Amino acid sequence: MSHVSTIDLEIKDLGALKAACGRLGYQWKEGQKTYRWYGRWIGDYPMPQGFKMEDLGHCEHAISVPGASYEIGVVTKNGKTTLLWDFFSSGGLQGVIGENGGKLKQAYATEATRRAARRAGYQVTEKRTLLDRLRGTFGMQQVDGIRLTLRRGV
Amino acid sequence: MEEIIVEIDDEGAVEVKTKGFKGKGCLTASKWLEEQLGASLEVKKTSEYFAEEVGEKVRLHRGAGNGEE
Repeated sequence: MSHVSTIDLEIKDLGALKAACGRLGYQWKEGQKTYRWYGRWIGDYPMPQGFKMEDLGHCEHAISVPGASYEIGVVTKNGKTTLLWDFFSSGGLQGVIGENGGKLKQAYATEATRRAARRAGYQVTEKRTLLDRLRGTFGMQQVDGIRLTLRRGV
Repeated sequence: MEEIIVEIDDEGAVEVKTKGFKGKGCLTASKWLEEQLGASLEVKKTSEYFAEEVGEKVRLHRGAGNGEE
């Protein structure tokens, strides 16, 4: 291994986000302008960066997640795409998509890698695996992961 | 064989690794993908990276000394 880069994931490919929803069995709602949430800002957590209270509940597309009554809003602002969602427990999203939306992020990163690799002429193999990760006070843990290997096509 | 390996954990944290690329070429080999996925937070060069770099310097030095290469 020559080098290892740690990436701060950004959503740059809406096609990959749609594919990620398909992979997880979520429903992509093209052009839906609102998403279901608690409906009122309580102020118990910081507002997502760059958003105001009146922005909440509004989106360009939405994602519906089986088993959750709340939805995820997809918003692109100043060229940056953000997922807005209410993690209040009664909405059911956090239990399905994971804390901080980890499962959706994992599926998105997988699809974004596959699509970018295909465009660049790489062949991709995908494998579910355990990865060693530092997890706060728990120290090094083995967690569910996906490993993609990219090789130049022959 | 040259490979780019992408590992994504259950929190969506992404690591991009390169394998089999010669010297500094490994850094540029995966840059296109890193830019597609987001912003690079940290780059760790492994012992293989430095071993390859030293190997290249030795070859260049030999070439300059004996008039070959």
